[in-house]
Amino acid sequence: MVSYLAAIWQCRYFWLSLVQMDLRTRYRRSVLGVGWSLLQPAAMTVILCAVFYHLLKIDLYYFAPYLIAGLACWNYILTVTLHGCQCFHRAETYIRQYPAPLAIYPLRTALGATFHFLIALGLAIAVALAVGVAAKFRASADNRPAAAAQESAVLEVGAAASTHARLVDHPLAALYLLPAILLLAILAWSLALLAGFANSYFQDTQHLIEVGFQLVFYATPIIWPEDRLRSTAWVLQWNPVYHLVRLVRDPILHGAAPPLGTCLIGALTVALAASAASLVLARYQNRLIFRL
Amino acid sequence: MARIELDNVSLTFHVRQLGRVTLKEYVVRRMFRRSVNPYVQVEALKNVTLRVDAGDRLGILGHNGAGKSTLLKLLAGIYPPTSGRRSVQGRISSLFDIALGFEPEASGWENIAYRGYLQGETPRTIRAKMESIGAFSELGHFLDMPVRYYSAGMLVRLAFSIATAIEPEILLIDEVLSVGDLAFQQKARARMREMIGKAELVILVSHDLPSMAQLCDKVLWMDHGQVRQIGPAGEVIAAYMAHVQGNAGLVGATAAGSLPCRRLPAGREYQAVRWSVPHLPPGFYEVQAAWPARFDQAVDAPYQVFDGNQPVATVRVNQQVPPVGNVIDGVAYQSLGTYRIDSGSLQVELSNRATRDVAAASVRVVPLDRPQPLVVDDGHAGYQQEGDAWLARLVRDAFGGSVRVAPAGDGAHRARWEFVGLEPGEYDVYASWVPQEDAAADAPFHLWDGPQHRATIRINQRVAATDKFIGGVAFRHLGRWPIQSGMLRVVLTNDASGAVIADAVHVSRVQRLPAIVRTAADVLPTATLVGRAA
Repeated sequence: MVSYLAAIWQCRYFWLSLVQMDLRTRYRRSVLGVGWSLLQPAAMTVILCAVFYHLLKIDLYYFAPYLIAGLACWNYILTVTLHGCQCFHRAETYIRQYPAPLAIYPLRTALGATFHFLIALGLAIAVALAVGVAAKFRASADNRPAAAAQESAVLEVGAAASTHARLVDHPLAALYLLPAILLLAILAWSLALLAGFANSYFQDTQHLIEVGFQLVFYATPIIWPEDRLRSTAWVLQWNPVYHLVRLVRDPILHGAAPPLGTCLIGALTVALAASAASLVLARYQNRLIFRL
Repeated sequence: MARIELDNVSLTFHVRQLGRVTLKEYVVRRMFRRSVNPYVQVEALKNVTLRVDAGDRLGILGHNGAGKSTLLKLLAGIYPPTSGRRSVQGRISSLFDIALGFEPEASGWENIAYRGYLQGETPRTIRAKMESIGAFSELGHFLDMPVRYYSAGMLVRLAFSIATAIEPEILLIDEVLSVGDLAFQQKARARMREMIGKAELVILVSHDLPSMAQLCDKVLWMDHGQVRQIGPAGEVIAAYMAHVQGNAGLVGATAAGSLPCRRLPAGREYQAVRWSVPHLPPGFYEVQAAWPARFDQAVDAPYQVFDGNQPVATVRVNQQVPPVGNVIDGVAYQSLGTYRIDSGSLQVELSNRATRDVAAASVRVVPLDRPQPLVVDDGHAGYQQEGDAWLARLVRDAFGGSVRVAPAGDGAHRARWEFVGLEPGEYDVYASWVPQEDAAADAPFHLWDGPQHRATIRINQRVAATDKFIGGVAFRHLGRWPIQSGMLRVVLTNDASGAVIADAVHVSRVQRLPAIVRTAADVLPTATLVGRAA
C-alpha cells in the first residue's frame, strides 16, 4: 500500500501536468475562462430560485446558498463518476506503453473535477456571505431585530431554517470545510477508479450510472428544501449522499460544524468507497490491460 | 546490475468472440446459463524460460504472431504472466507503440514534458533535455502547435526523439528502426546504436535481420509462442532464414563451405580480393557472390564492381547470414545486381573496409541476353486499373514521372500490368514505387502465369526499393518465376495495411548462358590480392 502510494508520488509530475493540461484545454477556447464552470450552477440556481420562489414562496436568503452548495457537491460526485468511466480508456495508450500505477488515471479525473468543485464552493461561500450581509443590512434598515425581520420574510420555511446562524457571523466555520473537502476528494478518486474498472469490464456501465444517479439526485435534498420531507425523513437518514452534502452545506449555510452523526456516516461512506477501490485495484489492476 | 529472468512463463489471453460484454448480457447469461459470446483462449506465450544479463544484446525474431511483441510487453511489465515467474532488476525503458499516447490538444513541447515525466524525468532534468529533443526531431516551429495538427510521420519523429532521450538501464525495443523519411531514418539508426551502446541490457524485436545481426550478439527465435532456438546471432538468424526459405518453397541456401575461401581481417590496412573476368562482349551481366556465413563476419562486406577500371557500384552484403538466391552445385549465390559492361572486362573487388572480417569465396557472372528491359509503366499500354479511388501523383523519382496511389481497402482496387508474347522460360519480376509514410507495409503483388496464379508477394512500400535501377528508378525484385503461357500478369490489390502505390513493373528473362565462375582459388595463385596503404 505504502509502496504503491510512493509509486504514484514518483510519477506526480506526469499526472499533475495532465491535470493542468485538461484544465487549460477546457478553458483555452472560451473568453469567459474559468467563469464557464461557474455559469452552469449559477444559472441553475437563478432558475430554481425563481421557480421555487413563485411556487412555494421560499426564503431566497436561505435558499440561494443552499442550492449552490448542494449543486456544487452533487455535480462533483456526478462528474467524477461519469468521467471516471472513461479514465482508463483515455489513458489506454499510456497503459500499453508504461507500467505506471493505474490509480493515477482516475486521480487525473478526480483532481480535474476537484478544481471545478473548489471554484463552485468559492461561489457558494461568496453568495452565503453576500446574503448574510444583505439580511443584516435589511434588518437594521427596518429597525427591527434580525430574527424578527427574517420571520416576517419567511412564509413557509420552518423556524429552524429562519432563525439559523449565518456564515457571516462565524467566518471561521469555513475551516470545517477543509476536512470535508479532503473526504470528498478521496471519495472522488475512489468513485472514478471504481467507475473506470466497471466500465472497462462492462461497457454499459455509464448508462446504468446515469440512471442510478438520477434516482439518487431526487432522493437527496439538493434542489428541493430539506424540511419539505419531514414525513419521509428516514430516506434522508439512510442516504449517504445526503450526509456528504451536509458536510459541505452546513458550514456554509449555518456557519457551524455538521452534526456528529453526519460526520460519522460521511466518513464511513468514504472509507467504504476507498476500501472497495483498493480491493478492486489490488485484484484487477494487472488484468485491466486485457480489457482495454 | 541489470538482469531479466523469466521462469517457465505462460500468457493466455481470454478473448470474447463478439467483442466486449455488457452488464446486461452478463446478468442474462448468469440467469440462463447459456453463452452466445464465449471466451476464446489464445495461448500467446507457452513455457518461456529466459535469462538475460547485463551486457547482453538479445534480438527476438519470428513470424508475425509468434509472440515477439507480447514477450517484450511481458518483460516490460505491461502484461502479467498467467503462470510462471518474471523477475527484473534495473529500470526498464521501452520503445514500442511510441507513436501513440500523445495528448492531442497539447503542443509538441508540452508532450515532450509529459512523456519525459512518464519516463521518470523531473521538471529540472527534462528542461535540460528539451532543446536537444526538439532539435533532434527537426520539427522547428511545429513544436509550438498542438500535436493534433501533426502528420503521422511527424508524430513518429517526435515520439522517437523523446523516447530515445533517456539513458536506459534496460532497453526494450520493438520495430522502431524504420522511422520517418530516409534522412531521419539514418539519424534514428545512429541514435539507436548510441542508445544500445549505452544501455546495460538490450532486447530488440525486429524483422530487419541485417540490423539485428549487427546490433545483437544473442538471438531468440519465437515460434507460436514458444522459444524455438536461442543462441549466437549468426547461427539463429541463419537457421531462421533457412526455415523461412524452406517454407516459401524457394531454393534453399547452402553454406559455401565447400569452396576455397579467403578471410580478410577487418583492420586499418587495406586488403582486398579482386576477381577479374576479361574478354566479355559488351552487354548486361548479372554479378553474383557466394560466401560462407559466420556470425563473426561483417554485415557490410563491400563488393565493388568495375567496368574495366571504372568503378560502377559498391554493394554491401551481410556475411553473417548465408547468400539468398540460386544454388549452383550446392552453393548459394546472391545477386549483386545487373551491370552494363562496355569495356570488355568486368572486375569485382571485395575489401576489408567493413566493420568486421569479410570472407571471399566465389563470384559468378551471368550474361543476360535481353539488353533492353521490359517495362510497363502506370498509364501506359499494358497497364489497367479498377476502382475509382486511384489517384495519379506526379513524382520526380517515379518511373515515367508518375505513380498511382489507392487507399487501403477490401481489395476492390486493382492495378494490373500485362506482358504478352513472352517466350516460355524463367523471368525475373521487378516492381517500382515511391515510398510514402502512409503506404502499406504489406502491399500484395499477385503474379499470374496466364490463368495460373503463381504467387502473392507482399512488399513494404514505406521503404525504398534497392534491387535494381533502370533509368535512375529503383526496382524491387519480386522473385524469379517460370512462365509457360506466354502471358505474365502482375496485379496489385489494395487489401493492405496502408495505401498501395502502383508505378512500373519490369520483367527480364533469365538467360541460361553458361555462367563464368571465379572462386578464391582462382585469384590467389595469380596474386591478384591487392594490398594498398590505408
